[in-house]
Amino acid sequence: MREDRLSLKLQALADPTRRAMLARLRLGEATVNELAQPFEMSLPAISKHIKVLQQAGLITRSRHAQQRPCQLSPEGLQEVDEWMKAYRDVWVDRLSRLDAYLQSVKE
Amino acid sequence: MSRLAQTILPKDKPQIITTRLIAAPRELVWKALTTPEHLQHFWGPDGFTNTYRQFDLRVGGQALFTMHGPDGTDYPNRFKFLAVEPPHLLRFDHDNGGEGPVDHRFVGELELFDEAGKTRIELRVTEKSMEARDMVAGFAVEGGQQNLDRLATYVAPMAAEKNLFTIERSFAVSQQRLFKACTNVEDMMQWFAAPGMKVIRASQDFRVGGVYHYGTASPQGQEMWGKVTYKEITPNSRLVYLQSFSDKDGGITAHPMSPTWPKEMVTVFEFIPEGEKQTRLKISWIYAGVDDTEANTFHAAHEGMTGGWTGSLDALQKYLNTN
Repeated sequence: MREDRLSLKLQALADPTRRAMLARLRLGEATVNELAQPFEMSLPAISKHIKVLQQAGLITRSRHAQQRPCQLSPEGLQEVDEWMKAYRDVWVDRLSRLDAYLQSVKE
Repeated sequence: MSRLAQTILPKDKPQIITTRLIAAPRELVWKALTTPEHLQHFWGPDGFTNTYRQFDLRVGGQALFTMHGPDGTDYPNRFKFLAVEPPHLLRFDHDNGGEGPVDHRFVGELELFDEAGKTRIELRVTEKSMEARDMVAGFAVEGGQQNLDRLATYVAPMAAEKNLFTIERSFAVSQQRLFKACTNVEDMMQWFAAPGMKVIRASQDFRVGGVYHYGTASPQGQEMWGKVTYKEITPNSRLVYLQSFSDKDGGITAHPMSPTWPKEMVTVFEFIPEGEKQTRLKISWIYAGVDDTEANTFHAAHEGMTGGWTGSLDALQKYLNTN
């Protein structure tokens, strides 16, 4: 279901470590070891974060290479971006309309 | 949020017991409940504010304060502390300190229990007799629940920044004009709904405790319903309401796009004067519930808006542009 996938993504993004991993991956693909480097965390803990991101569809992992590096999943992120845009723009647009309305009736 | 606060009226004791789980540590809840600078903002039922004249927190000490009702009525209050045991128990004798038309005497107790980092609060009011209890229960039950909901809302942003999200914008009009534009239905019809959306209902009962129920329909006929319950109305300066998605009958529903989005959220409008004809509108959304999944969804959405991970999305944009 689309809704449940979206919730999984938002929950995955709610964690600062996972967001930092996504930020690292925008520079290009990375192995688990490379992703783990900036964090004082055990490899199993890092693997757990990666699994959450993968299950949420925000990253993918190569099948063939032995290291199985991680990549950002543009499709996965796009779904969140669309939802976020709708939510964020509701109030930004609303306040712009309010401003325009107040100016139109001022005189 | 009255779904979170509950009341027990024991059959054998003249007590009114109100309880609620609060997503904040016990020390923080204790601090809010024992500091006049905090108490003045949330103590009492919806729409009340307080002026503290004395707060002597020790056994035998007393607190003197006036509660200001939403209709402008003042209620003098006095606590005489019988037990002060941080961070879990406060017991006091309550009366009006010899002032005011109403002298409601009772023994009050506030007890805080730790529940895995969250706090279970119990507000116990012991009346003189079962008859006295049954006489005040009519307003005290609702008032007690509102009081604990307000406490939870007040401490939520203190407990975690993620429970709060704020946007601001300045408008070239007076405070009065901006307040009216945000509260008067005829004004709101002009800007609230997106262009092309048809307003199918906008019924407003503008008073503390009143409800604003509205519905819009898209050109494709998709309906969206929302419900607002007013909690605090300070004309021209402050407006607090509880916001939820709704069905056409006013029942509370989940976000149509996201089942884990908070079902209820407190929204605070502050109208801050910046000159005779310039007013800043600050809107704050506060998540005061205790569901971690809801809290995280709320947080993730705001991180996205404030740039917490927009870097990833920038990368995505670049990727999409170059592929």
